[in-house]
Amino acid sequence: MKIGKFILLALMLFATSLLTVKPAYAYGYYEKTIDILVVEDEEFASLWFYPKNVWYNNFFHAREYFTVCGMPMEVRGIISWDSDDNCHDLYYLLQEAIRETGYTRLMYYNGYYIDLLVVFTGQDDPNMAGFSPPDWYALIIKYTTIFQYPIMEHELGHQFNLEHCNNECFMNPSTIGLYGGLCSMHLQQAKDNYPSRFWRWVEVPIYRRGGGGGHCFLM
Amino acid sequence: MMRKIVALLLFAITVAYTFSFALAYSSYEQWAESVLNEYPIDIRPYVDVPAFPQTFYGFLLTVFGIALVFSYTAFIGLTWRQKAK
Repeated sequence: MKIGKFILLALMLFATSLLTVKPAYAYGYYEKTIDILVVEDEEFASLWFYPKNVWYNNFFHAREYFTVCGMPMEVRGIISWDSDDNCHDLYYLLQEAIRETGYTRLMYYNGYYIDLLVVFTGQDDPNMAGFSPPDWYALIIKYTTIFQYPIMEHELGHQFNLEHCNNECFMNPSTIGLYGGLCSMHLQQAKDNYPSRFWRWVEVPIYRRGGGGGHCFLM
Repeated sequence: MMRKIVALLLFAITVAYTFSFALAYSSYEQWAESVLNEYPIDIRPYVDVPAFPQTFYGFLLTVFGIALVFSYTAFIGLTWRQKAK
């Protein structure tokens, strides 16, 4: 009899708990947009407007392509940096830009966590057209190549861990600017690498623990 | 006679350009390899060496090669027109 009462009590408690105690669960979502911070040095910023127009065009087309393929990108800010005028190596210029801006991956800037640093430089490197190491989450493009060829897509493609190929694809280094899209292999690779590289899990804090209706300052 | 001279000239230019293109492209490949070798091995696939038409001599050779092809088509078209007359 005692056990029966206990069971009844337990059941009643359980029923009441269903009414009053809500399971506390954290909810979150994947922040999928690639937030970009653009960095220009003073040589690039002081250029004549036509190369700048070309740069905006290139960036627009690249963003459009990746967005249509399901990989949205947004520019969250444009800041300037002072490049070393004696340095003509994009490898070291990119290192310098990262050092000067204090950039790390997921740096908090203007209300956003920056996923990618895009650096434009007016220094001329005769050996490199652009440099985009995916492990640094940063890329650099010099003004002469951005003036001559739309290599923005190519460099952004490197940020999805894509390497060079020989197909009709903008990851083909010998035909940069001829093809405005990725080959099927590289498109699949980009879609596969996109979540691990750029998705960020955002946890929303729990404001209401337990039940009893909302807005109770005691709960 | 004129046609023969033009044809010989075009042939000579073609031969010269073939050899110069081969030489330039092979030296370009050596140069690109040397540029890539300057950087650490883990970032080499992501270093973009300027493509052959983006370099100075590569641009010149490409442009003159295209001009040569156009001159060939013009020559063939003109001779065909003269024969038709």
